[in-house]
Formats: sequence, structure tokens, C-alpha cells
Amino acid sequence: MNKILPQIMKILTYQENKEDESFVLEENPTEKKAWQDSRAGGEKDNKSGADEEKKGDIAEASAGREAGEKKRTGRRRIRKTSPRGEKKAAVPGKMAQNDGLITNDLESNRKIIETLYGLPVNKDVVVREFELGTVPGIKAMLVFMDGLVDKAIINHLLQSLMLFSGVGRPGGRIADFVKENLLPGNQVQEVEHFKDVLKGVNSGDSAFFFEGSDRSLVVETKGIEHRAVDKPNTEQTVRGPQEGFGEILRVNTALIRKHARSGELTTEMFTVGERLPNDVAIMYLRDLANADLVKEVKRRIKSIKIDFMMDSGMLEGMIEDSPYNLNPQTIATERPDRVAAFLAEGKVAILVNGSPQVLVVPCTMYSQLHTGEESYLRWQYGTFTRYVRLLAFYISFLLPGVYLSIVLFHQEMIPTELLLAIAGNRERVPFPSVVELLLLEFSFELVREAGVRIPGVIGTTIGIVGALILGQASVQANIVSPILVVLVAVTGLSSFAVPNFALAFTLRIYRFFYIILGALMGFFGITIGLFVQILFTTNLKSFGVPYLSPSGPRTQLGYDVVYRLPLFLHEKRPDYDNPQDVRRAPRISRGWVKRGGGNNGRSD
Amino acid sequence: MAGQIKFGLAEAVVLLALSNMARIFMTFPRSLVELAGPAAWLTPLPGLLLALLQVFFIWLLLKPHPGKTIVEITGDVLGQVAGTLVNIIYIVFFLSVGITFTRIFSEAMIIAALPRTPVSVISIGFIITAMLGAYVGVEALARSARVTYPFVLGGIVLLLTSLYPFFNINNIFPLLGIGPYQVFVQGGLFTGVISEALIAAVIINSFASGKLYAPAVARGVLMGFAYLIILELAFVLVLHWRTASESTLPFYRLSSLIYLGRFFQRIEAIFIIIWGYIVMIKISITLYAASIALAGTLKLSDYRPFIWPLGLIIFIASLLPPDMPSVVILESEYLRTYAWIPTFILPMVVLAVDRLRRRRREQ
Amino acid sequence: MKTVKLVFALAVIIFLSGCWGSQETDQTALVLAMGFDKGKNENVRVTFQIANPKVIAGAAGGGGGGGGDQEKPYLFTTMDAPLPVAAFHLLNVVRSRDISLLHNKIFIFSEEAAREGLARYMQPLNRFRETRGTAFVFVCRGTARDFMERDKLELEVSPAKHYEIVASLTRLHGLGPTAHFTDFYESTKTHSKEPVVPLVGINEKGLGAPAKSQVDSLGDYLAGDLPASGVTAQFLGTAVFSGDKMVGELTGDESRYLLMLKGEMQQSFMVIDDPKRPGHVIGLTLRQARRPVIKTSASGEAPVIDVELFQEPSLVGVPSGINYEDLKLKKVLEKEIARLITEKCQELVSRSQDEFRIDSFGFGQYAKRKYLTVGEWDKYNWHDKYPDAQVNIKVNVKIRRTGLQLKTVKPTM
Repeated sequence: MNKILPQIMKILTYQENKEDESFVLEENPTEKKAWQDSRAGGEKDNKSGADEEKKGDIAEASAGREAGEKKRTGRRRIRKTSPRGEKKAAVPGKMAQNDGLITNDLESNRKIIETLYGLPVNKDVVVREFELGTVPGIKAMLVFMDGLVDKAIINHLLQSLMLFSGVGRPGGRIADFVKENLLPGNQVQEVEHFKDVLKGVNSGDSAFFFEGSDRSLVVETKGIEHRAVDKPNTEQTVRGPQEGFGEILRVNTALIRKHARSGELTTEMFTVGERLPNDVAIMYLRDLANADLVKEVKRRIKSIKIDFMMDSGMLEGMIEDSPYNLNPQTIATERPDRVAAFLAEGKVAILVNGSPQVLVVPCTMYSQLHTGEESYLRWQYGTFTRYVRLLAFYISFLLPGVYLSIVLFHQEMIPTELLLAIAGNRERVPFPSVVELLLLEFSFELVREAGVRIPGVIGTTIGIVGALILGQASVQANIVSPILVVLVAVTGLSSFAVPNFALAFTLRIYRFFYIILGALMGFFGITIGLFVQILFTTNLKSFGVPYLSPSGPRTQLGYDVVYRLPLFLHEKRPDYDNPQDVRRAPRISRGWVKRGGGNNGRSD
Repeated sequence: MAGQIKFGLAEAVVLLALSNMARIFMTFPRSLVELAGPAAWLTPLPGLLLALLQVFFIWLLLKPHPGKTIVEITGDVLGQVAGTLVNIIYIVFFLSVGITFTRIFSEAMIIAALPRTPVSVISIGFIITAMLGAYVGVEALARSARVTYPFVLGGIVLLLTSLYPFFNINNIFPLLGIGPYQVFVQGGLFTGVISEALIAAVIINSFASGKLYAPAVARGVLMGFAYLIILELAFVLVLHWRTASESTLPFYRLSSLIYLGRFFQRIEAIFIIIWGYIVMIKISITLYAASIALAGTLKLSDYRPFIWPLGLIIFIASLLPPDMPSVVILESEYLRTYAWIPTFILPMVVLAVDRLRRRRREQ
Repeated sequence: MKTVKLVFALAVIIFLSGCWGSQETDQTALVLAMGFDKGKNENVRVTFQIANPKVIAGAAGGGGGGGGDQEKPYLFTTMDAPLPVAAFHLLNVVRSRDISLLHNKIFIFSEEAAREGLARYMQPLNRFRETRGTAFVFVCRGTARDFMERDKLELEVSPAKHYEIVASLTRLHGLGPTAHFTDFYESTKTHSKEPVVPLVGINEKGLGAPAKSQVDSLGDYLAGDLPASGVTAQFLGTAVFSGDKMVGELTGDESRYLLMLKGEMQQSFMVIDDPKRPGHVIGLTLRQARRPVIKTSASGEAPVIDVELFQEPSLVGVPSGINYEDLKLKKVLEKEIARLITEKCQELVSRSQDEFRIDSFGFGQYAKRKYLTVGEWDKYNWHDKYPDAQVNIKVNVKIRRTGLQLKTVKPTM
């Protein structure tokens, strides 16, 4: 009797299905012990420590439950037991022996390399042993990462070391001798730490070890397969350079340097990412960019502690001033000519290896509405496009909200016939205007999102689906009114006309706020929205520069903000960037206009 | 906190001018027409002189104390008890400006745009924006004022050009309106009282330099009065003064009269955005001034804790008057009369005491 | 994040609890025109012309309306109520929708109501938020209801567009004034100008209406009397008001001179007797060269008003075949035109002084310039002085253009 009741309860109540868990990541016993030790060591006052403790308790309990059944090795979790910031934690602890220094003994070096890379298992690393062609021969070892290196170069290096090195063995240090006499690599670096060897090999360099030398030579042999320099995908222009950045940092810096040929152009490199380190470079003109700005950019990048850094978008999220503001606070561009132009204004470019988008800071909202193409066009065309874009900017976030306010609250505003047309078309639509609009807007967002994901082969169909199904059919099915289709289409077009992808995204989100405000309180709601948006936008700063400069705080307006006046009037750089030299060109930049000034001040 | 935020002359001028302009969009121009008849547009001229006089006196008071706000100066000069009392009068003045503006504009919004919306909802809208504006600080307010100023200007130019066909030059005659006494003395007293001189004296530490006070406020006041004169003139030119004195919201009435062909008419809703915006700036800046004056009186470094309680006070008090006409009477008869005490008389008293003390000290 | 969630939750609550005071178009009935008659028992009889957007949009969209072919684009409702706005609110009982006056562009008052005084209609309307100040005002001969129902819109679908265009056509024919609601309302409140309102009526007799002599005149009819085919609405002539009461009617021709004196006549057609060959007529298009110059001396008992008009006619038709393009003959013609206009204007002015005893021309606005304060001007009492005023009219005529012909050659016999 007293057994039946629990049985019934078992049927009725929810029971966790324990058998189904085929794979669970659990802490292994050693880790648990290490963790217990650290707890014994005591960091209980730390709040995050306390949190972890709680989590740990649960994990411990579950681990205890199934300790006997599953014994797994594999994933190693590094706990934050050591204080943050100590670089050693990043490099696996096995190197701790010998302080990570290269030894004289080639065999022990090989052992270390094998441990570091987990060699028999790890198939990417190639260790090639050979003998230098000197008399007498020296045992040597080459370590490289298969696939990251250029095989032709490696073969060439080996050739010169093994065959074309028939000289007597000198007395000095072997590494120096090889570096100076034998190795034809263009960039050779002598290192003494395995840490540096790993860094080089992981990025495609090759490391040479020699018997009896406690130095290793890291030779540049990068030959990573990558996309060729291509047209920019998201920032196409009609006029102007058609090159876009690729995924390789060095190619990208070279592309910038191609447009900015100056000895003052400085590239500084950083490594960001603790588990998967990646290269981050900043570029600036040494004699132009504000030193404080450069310092601040470096400070922010250096301070980043993150697991991995795949793209400049991640870096952007880590260095921007106000992460909770909707507006993008850096310019991400694909075009080297644009970056070069920004550098010439005294801005700083940030490149991340593997990312075809380069960040430029500081940025203003106005520069996000520029494409750089306006400078290549004649100034009248440039100005015209900018005004079109400005209109698109406003339409893309305001139009649906304004439409709703007019239709719901301010019907007197529009001409009678237009209102009657709207009303007549809406007669058969069973939804309120807001629902109707939101329906269509969400459908449009769906088309947009799906258009990105749909495989290229059937990508063209999305246009037909979007246009026909959503437009034509939904009107015929009386789900939306035709005027609204036009409206949403115009809004969509406008948001595509905003050149900066991130800014367009921002406006898309703002649009929904305005729809809600407009539907609730008409133009009063829109006013509230505008007030708040303008307030937050003017309050925003990108690397210390007010976001709406030069009109937010009124500074020297220049001739290149909303309109673009002829090029010879652009005499000054934007002073909100505080460059070291504000003047861009002399007062008369077209020397031929001045009588007798034909050679523009040149003496030759 | 307050020490960091700075803005320049252009921002300060526009901020004060917009704040000064806010009254144009309420019942104020109507009261002027009622007072002076067709010569309503002349009344701001003597008012401007009086306003500049206020600016001058407050400037005299501020000049020997660089880096101090009027609140601190009052506290220093009058001593703890009297100084605090005077400062509280300032704060009450700011609050009452905020209260009347919130209520009048909530009512105006109902009349003009949202006839079926409860007044509390609109007041909440105004108060929330004001609290946000005050929270973010006067720097962002000044910048956003500067950024939006071209739009405000554009809207007013659009209004004036589209009203041009309706201008009837005969409407401004008889030139002196109801009488010179009403126009120049009463009108001057009525238009001359402004809160901007005092507000600027409270937020003076946010200016890029204390020397900006006189040029910024004087220009702001000049701009505000220029707009007042122009719009009042347009108002009188378009509507005969007898009907003009009937309309509750003159600016709204003006914009609703626009008729340029069948397509372009009744665009008053667009102006709702402009005046709504200006009023939000006005209420924000008053709330900000009240909070920072309170913080200064209590010698606290941060004003932000006061925003919420003071905002709540404004909100609740704005709902107290029973109806629109009583608020209008409260505003035009009581507030505008007693406002002379905090904006003119008290600074003068402080100035006199300050001068006397210095002289005595020198001797 | 918490605040974001809170705001979002708040927004959702607000959102779902219904929008404050929004008016969906498919719940609203738009009144496009209102007619006012005297009702029974001191009531106001208001006729509403309500748009039927289904049909209008369908017609505009080229027959997408489906079953709407038989429906009319508008419908009428008439009701009696003590106030116009009350009638408007009562309408919600009759019609299924929220009634909106936001797009009411026309007010038509019957002559009977106008003669009794329009203040009782205007005052509530002026206070009412939804009233368009730019709506047009007409006075209708007969009842407004009758007029609205019989006025067939043949070219237009929407009555609002119909009346709006009709009202603006006066700049082409000049045979009637236009009056916006606000102008009209304002004029009823002031003494320096008095309201004038266009007159409308239905032509019931068709071509059978008695035709008048066409010499020296063209539109010497009141609305509804002009012989024309079909039973159609006519917009011709002026209703003259004193304050809010209608005191008289002006024919189309008189309206032209009224507009001329007010400086509002932009273009008008005129037919005069040929000075060289009486019995023939000459057709002219009159255009105002510049606004009239009006000088007044309003200090004594009888004010003196000097009006100078500037007209630039162009020749349209000269059936007599006389070469008026010749400079000397042109002078003769100009003189004749000036004489005729002066005479007609004088006639009109004396009619306004003797018959209506009001200043419809707005001369008072010029007179008040001499006064410095409102008090003095009110004391002068223009309203009483005007009928005794001496009005001197001078007309300058200059024929600028003669159409496509520079010369008229006599036909060979």
C-alpha cells in the first residue's frame, strides 16, 4: 500500500531523465583537487570566488555521484587560481622547467617541442632533422607548421643549408654564423625562449635548432592560404580604388601603406587573446596623430584580457567608450584608401589579423555617413549624394513612426485625398495600423536576415519571394494595405542607402522605438524619442571626441561635413581630432591660380 | 562632477535662447496681445532692456567671484541662514517655472495634438525627458540644443514664409495699440522677466570660462527676444488683434492657418515637434538648475540624487491646478509678477551687501 | 539590463492597454462638407457630407473596389440640434463610426440662416479643435441641404476636392470672393472690414433662365440664375455681411469690382461696348497690375477715401474688326475701359454706402493707420462714419498685350 502511492506519484510527477545524457563535460578529479586546494588557500572574501565556490559545490556533487562510472581525461580547464595578468599562465605549465629557455642539447630541445605540441598526436607540426652542409656537419632541426608555411621557401632554405653551405665550421656561435652566412631567409630572428619559437611557428614561421646552440633561428616562411585582394564586398564605389582588405594582417598593412607612402606611418603590433593569441596592429602617422590619442588606443588594446580575438568586431566591443549606447563608436571599413584618408586626418587605424574590416578611431557620426567616394567625385555630385544620404538617414528611422502618428493622431496633416486613399485601402485590413506596420516591418527584417543566410545559388529567389509574396500577395490577401508596402519599401531602401553597416543597424533598431512611440502618443511620442536620442547621441564620445563633432559641440565646421565644398577649400583637418598639425593645405592650394605661382612653390 | 563638463559660447547662447523661446509657444503671446493690442510686438523692446539690466546686475555680482555660482556667492555674502533662505527662494522659483511649464504644455499638447490622452500621461512624458536631460547633464543638453537649432530655425523660417501670403500690414495699426503705457511700461514689465539670467548664473561652472557669462546670456536673451518680436509680429500681422486675443495657443493657431494650395496645408503637427522639443529643453534645464542649486546650497558635490525628488515634485505639483485657465492666470499674473523677486531684487540685495562688505574690508 | 527590461515591460503594458486617443482610419468617418440651415424650434439643421473611402480609394485605384460600383463616394446625414457641434456629436448615434471634422473643408450656410446671423454657428466651431481654419465658407441660395444633395460631382470623386478647386477658381474668373473660415470669423469681429462670402446656388431652369444683355457686363447674375445647360451648381456672386448678419447680395459683375477695390482680383473676363462701333462688344482679360493705392483722411465728420486702381487688360476678342492695336486707338480703348470701371466701382461703393451701410472693402483698415491707439480709433466709430464717406476712384488702365494679334486687318468685302 505504501508502495503504490510513490509509484503513482512517480507517474504523475516530472522525473529527470538520467539515462539520456550520453555526453557530459565534467571536471576531472585532479582539477577538483586543485580547486579544493585553492579554496583551502583561501580567497573567500572575493565575491566572484564565492560565486565560483557555489558552482563548484554543485559540480562537485554531481561529479561525486558519477565518479565511479565515468573516468574521463581530455578537456583541461584552467582555473583563475593565479592572479590575473601573469603571462605565464597562458603558456602551458610544462615549459616551466628550465624557465622556457632553449637548451644546448638538440635532443632535449626536440623533446620539449614534442611536449609542447603534443607531437605524436598532433599532426600539424613537422619536425625535420637534418645536418648542416658545413665541415664538419652540425646536427640541426627544423620545426614548422604544415599548411601555414610556403613549401618552396622551406625547400629553398633547406637546400641552402644542406647543400650550398660547404664551408668550414667557424669558431663563433653557430646561430650567429648560420644567420649571417648560410640562411637566405629575409627575416631571421634569433630567439632564446620557446615562447617566442611557439609564437613564430604558430603564425607560419619556421624555427631552426642547432646542436650546441641555445638559440633558435625563426625564419619568416609564411605561406598561409588566403583570399586574394578583392573588391570590397560591403562598401562598393563607382569611382575610386576598388581594392578591399583581406584576412591577412600583413597584406592589409601593405594595402594601407600602398595608399599612404610615408615614413611617418607607423605600425605597432600587439598580441591580444590569452588562449588563442592574435595579432592586432595600430597604424598612425607619427607626426600627425595626437600622441594622447595613440597612447589611449594602445592603453585600451593592451589592457584587454580575452580568450580569443577573432575579428575587429570583437575588438570594437572591447575598446568602445559606451557599450550600452546603440550607436557604433568606431568606423569599420573595408577600403584601404579610406583608411589612408583617415590617417591623413590624424586618426588611428586598428587592424586585427584575420579580419577584413579595419577600425578607425575616433569617429563621428558624420564620418559614418561618408563613404570617401564623395571626395573622388566632383564636389557638386559629392554634395548631392550626401544630401540624398542625409534624407535616407532620417527616413530610415523616422518614416514608419511618423506615418503611424499621422494616421493615428494627426490626420488633418495630410491632404484629404491621400488620407481617403489610405483609409480606403485600409478598409479591408483587419488589423490595427500598428500591427499591420509591425507585421510588414518584421517580414522585411526577415527577408533581410534570410537574404544574408540563403546560399548564393538560390539567393536571387529571395528578391522574388520578398517582392511578390510579401508585397503583392499580402495586399491581395488584405493583410496589409498597398500604401504601407510602399512605405516599408522606401524605409528599407533608405536604410540600405546609409553607408555604414553598423549605423544602418542602429537606425533599424531605433525605428522600432519610434514605431511604438508614434503609435502611443503621435508626434509627442516622436518628440520624446528625438529628444532622448539626440541627448544620448550628443553625450556620446568616441575616444574622447564628441560623437556629433563638429556640430555637437560647435567647432571649426570645415567644408566637408554635410556638404562637400571644392577640394581646394579643405585647408584644415578636423580639429576635433586634435592633430599635431591642423593645416592641411596652404591658403592657396591651387598654385596655378596665383599669377606667377605656376610651380606651386617648388624651387626646382 | 560638475566641474568637468564644459561647453562653449555657441552652445550656451543657443541653450539659453531656446530656453527663453519656450514661452513663445505657450499662451504668452496671447497675453501680450490682450495687454497691448496691435502693438503687442513692441512690448518686448522695453522688456529686452529690463532683461539685459538683470543680466548686467547678476554679472556685476558674479564678476568679483570667479569660479563661483550665484548660489555659493549668496551663501558666502549673506551668511548661512539668510543665504540658504535666498537660495531656497531661487530653487522654489526654478521649480515653479518647471511646474507651470509642465502643466501648461501638457494642456497645450492635449489641445493641439492629443485630445483624448490623459494629462498625466503627457506630464509624465515631459518629466521623464526632463529628468533624463538633467541626469545626463547640461553639457549634453547644450550640445543637443546646438545640434537641433538649425531645425528649429528652419521650422520658424518655414512658418514665416508660408504665412507670408496671409500677412496683412493693416493689422499692426493703430501703431501704439491700446496705449503707450500698456505697451511700454506694462508690456516691458511683463516680457522683461526672464529666468535665463539666473539659470546661467547657477550653471556658470559648466561654461568653458566664467567670462562667457555676460556675452552668452546677453546674446541668448537677444536671440530669444528677437524670436519673440518676430513671431509676435507675425501673429499680429496674420490675425486681427481682436481674434488674436481669443486663441489659446497662438503659435499653434498660426501654423494651422497655413494654406498654400491643396497639398500644403495644416502642417501644425510638424511644429508640435519643434515646440515640444524646446519645452523639453526648457523643463530639463530648469530641473537641472534647481537640482544643482540645491546641491550647491547643501554644499554637496553631486546634484544627481536630487533629480528624482525634484522631478517628482514638479510632476505632482503640475497636476494640482484644477484647469487650464487657472494655470494660465497663475503663470501670467502671479509667477510673472513675483518672479521679479528672485531674478532682480534678490541679486540686487546680494550685490549691495557684497559691495558694502568689500568696501568696509578695504577701509 | 534591468532597466532595459523594466522599460520594455512598461512599454508592453502601455502598448497592450490601448493607445491613448488614437483614431484608426477604419473607425473614423471623415466629414468633408457641412451645410447649415435653420431648423425647427430654434434648432440648427446640419447636413454632413461624409466620405466613403472604400469607393474613393477603389475609384482611384482603377476599379479595384469590387462590389463598390453601385455605392456613392459620399453620403449625407442631416440632423437637428441646438449647436452645430452637438449635431456633430449626435451623429455618432446615427453613423457607425467615430465622426471626424478634421477634413471638413467646406461650410455652407443657407441664405436664411445667414440673414439671421451666423454667430451661433461660428462661435462653437471656432472653439472646436477639429475645425479647419482654412476651410472655405459659402452662402447658399435656398437651403444648404438641398444644394449639397443636388450638386452633382461629375469630374471629382471627393467633394472636398471639388469645393476646394471651385473656391480657388475665383483667381481665374474673379466673379466671386473666397472666404476661409478664419478670415470670415475674424471679419465678423472687427469694424474695419466686413466679411464677404461667395454665393452658390443651383441652376434649376437650365438654359431657360432669362438671359440679360451682354453689353458692358458678363456675369451680371446671382448664383443659380446664369443660363446654362443641366441642373448644376453655380458659384457666382457675393453675399455681403454686416458683422455676422448677411445684408445683401452682389452679382458676379459687382463681385469683380468688389475684388478690384479690395485688391484681390487676379484675373477676370470682361465684355465692354465697342467705343468706336457701338453695338459690338470687345472681350478683355483684366489683370491687376499692382494692388490698389488707398489713401484716407479720416479726421473730420465725413472721411475722404482716394482709391487708385491699376489694371492691365489684354485684348481677347474684337468682333468689330477695328484695329485697336494701333497706339492711338488703344488710348481710346483704355480710356473707355477706365471710365467703365470707375463708373461701376462708384456704383458699387454707393450701393454699399446707401443700401448695406457697411464697409465691405476694408477701407477702414487704411483709415485706422492715422490713429495711434485703439481707443482713439474706436472712438472715431468708422462703422457709423463710412456711409457718409466721399470715395474718389481713379483707374489706370494700360493694355499691355493684345494676344496673338498685333494688328487687325479689315476683312475685304
